[in-house]
Amino acid sequence: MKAKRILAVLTAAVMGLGIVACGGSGSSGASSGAGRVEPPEDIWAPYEETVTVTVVGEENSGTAFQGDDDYQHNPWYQAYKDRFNIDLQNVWVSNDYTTKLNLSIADGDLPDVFHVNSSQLTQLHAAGMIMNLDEVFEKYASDTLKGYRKDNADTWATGEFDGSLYGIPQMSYGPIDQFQYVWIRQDWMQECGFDEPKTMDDVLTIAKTFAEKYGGYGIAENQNLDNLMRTALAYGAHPGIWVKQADGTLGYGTIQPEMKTAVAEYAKWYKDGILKSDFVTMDNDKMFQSLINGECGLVFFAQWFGYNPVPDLIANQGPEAIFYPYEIPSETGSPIMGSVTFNNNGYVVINKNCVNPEAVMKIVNFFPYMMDDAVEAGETHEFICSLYDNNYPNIVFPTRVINPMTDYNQYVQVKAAVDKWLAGEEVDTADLGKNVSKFNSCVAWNTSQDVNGVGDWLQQGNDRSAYGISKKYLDDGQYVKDAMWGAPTATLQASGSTLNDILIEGFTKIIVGEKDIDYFDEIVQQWKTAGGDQATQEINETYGK
Amino acid sequence: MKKKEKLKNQWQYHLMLLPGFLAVLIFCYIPMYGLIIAFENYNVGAGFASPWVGLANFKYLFNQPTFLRTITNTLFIAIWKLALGIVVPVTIALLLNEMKSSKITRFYQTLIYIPNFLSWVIMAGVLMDILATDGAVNSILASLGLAPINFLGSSKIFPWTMIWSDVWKGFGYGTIVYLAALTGMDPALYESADVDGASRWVKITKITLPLLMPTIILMLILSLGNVLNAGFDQIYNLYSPVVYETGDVIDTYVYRLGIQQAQYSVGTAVGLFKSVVSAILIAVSYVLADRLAGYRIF
Repeated sequence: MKAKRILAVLTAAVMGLGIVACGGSGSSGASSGAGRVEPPEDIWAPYEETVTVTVVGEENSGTAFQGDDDYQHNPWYQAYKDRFNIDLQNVWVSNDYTTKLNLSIADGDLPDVFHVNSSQLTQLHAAGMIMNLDEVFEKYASDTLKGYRKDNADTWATGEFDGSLYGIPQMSYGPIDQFQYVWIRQDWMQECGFDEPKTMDDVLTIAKTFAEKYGGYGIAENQNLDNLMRTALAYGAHPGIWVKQADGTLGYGTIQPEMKTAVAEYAKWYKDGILKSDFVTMDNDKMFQSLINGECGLVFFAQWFGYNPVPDLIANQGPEAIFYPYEIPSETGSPIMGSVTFNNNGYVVINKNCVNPEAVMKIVNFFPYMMDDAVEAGETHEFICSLYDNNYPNIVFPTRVINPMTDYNQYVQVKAAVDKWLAGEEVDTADLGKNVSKFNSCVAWNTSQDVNGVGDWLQQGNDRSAYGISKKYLDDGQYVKDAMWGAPTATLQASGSTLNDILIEGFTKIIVGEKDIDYFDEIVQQWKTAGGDQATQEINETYGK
Repeated sequence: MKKKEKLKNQWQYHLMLLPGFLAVLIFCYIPMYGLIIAFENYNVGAGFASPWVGLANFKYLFNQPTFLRTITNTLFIAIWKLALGIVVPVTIALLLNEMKSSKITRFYQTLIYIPNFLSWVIMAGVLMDILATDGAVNSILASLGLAPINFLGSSKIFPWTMIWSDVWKGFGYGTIVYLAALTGMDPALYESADVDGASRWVKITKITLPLLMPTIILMLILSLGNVLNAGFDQIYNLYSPVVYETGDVIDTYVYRLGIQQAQYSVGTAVGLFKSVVSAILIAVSYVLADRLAGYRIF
């Protein structure tokens, strides 16, 4: 009896000494089972024997898998096998990539090739866990990829340490995909007889009318206040980027006086019932669900809204319920300025223990090849479409490197072709190259209301699409550039998201009425002492000139 | 001489104890070496040989406006859970014990035990729907003419939602333990009480409760080791930034900081801090249990 008691108490005591420890030192995670295989001379030639390369992936609900396709079996992976005799194996695919990768890093259990953000890049380089790519890049990168490096030298410099390349910047589809819009449900808008909103008052009138007439609420938001950061543009704030302040120094956009105005407005909306009374408990998926259920018809959102949740929304509410994007208006009706950040989606890195880094380079080469060179190289339409339809490029997110001019050029080309088609003229799809996929889906949406095509249509198929609005912003210079035009500084890399957490939490309290608007200044003060001041100082030293 | 003899007679017990002891040693004591990273600027490559920074991580931590409140939140939620986790099951066990039909007792026993088997991930999904402002509970409140309650989105109410939902989910288990203790009681005591003409209430307060006390105290002491575990899986699945003020507990804070935001050293520093506080609390409660209830183990 006594022994039992002692054991019980011992167990209880040890439970108290809970979760402190974090085991495992960086053991080898290199997972290439087959061992070293000599690569062929020609960088486009296949290996003589199959080479296995491991990777980790991110789930993307926008990817519409066809038939038996999945993250492991799909045309991209098949192409690697057919063209290069490379067997690309997913170790895991997660919907919370960053957290999952942090766990893998802590474990020292990393695949051959993977995607990292800038703070993970710094960490892994310091840890000596990733490969110096100078040699393999020089020998095996394609000319297209080398061209990207030349054209975007400032971006590529952020992937270098002491002049050596460690992370290949993945860049992005270009600043055209960074703007924000107010998306409004069309059937309701027509029924109520509204025109495009010209001021924020117009937006609020539309939201209130929708809520009264259709028994839901006015404007959609989630617990992380993602949409507040978009709405704030209407009040001249630029949350999330670093801006030049009145005194000439650089400061964080999220703590500027304009942001205080935006938060105060938001609090008013919450009080008036325009925001859902329990939006603070809803994550983004729940918010989408609520839109899909027809509870709300207006949301401030990014350009990809047409891919998710619009297809589900149309399936549930009918095609007339489609949302269209509009420019976010200001209070007075004068045009607003968008925010443009340093454009890089992360880095492709290679595990130091990877035995066939040339194989990884072949995989990395393939995406730019398909993007820029496939038509000239004589690839068939069927092959191009098999890779680009149904948002399949999402599958290779961890290894893809994107030409930052892609989406701008693509929009111009696709829209011209769709306009021509709508006018009843003949369109020669051979001219469109890989963009034929976007064109086809716009046509599919317009002829048979195929929901798989609605995303492309709303993103870039017409004048009223998101990119149509973005192009105007870009061409007119109607945007503010992030003063942090490069990699984040040390404090921001280590604790940037912890700092943001403080602001989000404080803003939420003001919005739901637990605190009044003066609390904003207190929150900013907290942010400063928690590391914000240090971050500001670093930014001014590095980017302030 | 006596000691040696004792060991000779009891070696089988020690042998049986060994696997458990080894498991504790391997999984609980040896990993404590990892605590070293709380004093380092940990990077994954260098591992435990990362640069030594002394107390810098703790300094950083105490500069965070969001840290100290996690301790008070943890204590508030955990202590209420602890207290109600004893009061509620004891009450229910007493009530069930008074039932005449053992069939009905068993039926209720099973019914209240079932939620105990569901994981918090599932339970959280259910609770979110039931407790939403347009969910089942609030619909009932509305039909009674009451204002809706924001169970999960109000920082005043959130901790109570956590406490009561946890008690609701777990009280079936405690009830069974206490019922078992109750059935083991000597019926002769009750018979003689009947002869003296004692009422049911008197029998409960004068016989049942005093006899139940050792079990209650044992359960209490066993759960004291958990006093700083306010229930990670429950809270993590139900909280949101608006309730961090009252609902963010040490474990959720460690998870956000250490895993989601990859500040390994700081996360470990919080964990170490928690362990130290835990150890102190256990020591204090042990002394208290000895003084107040005359209960001791060593």
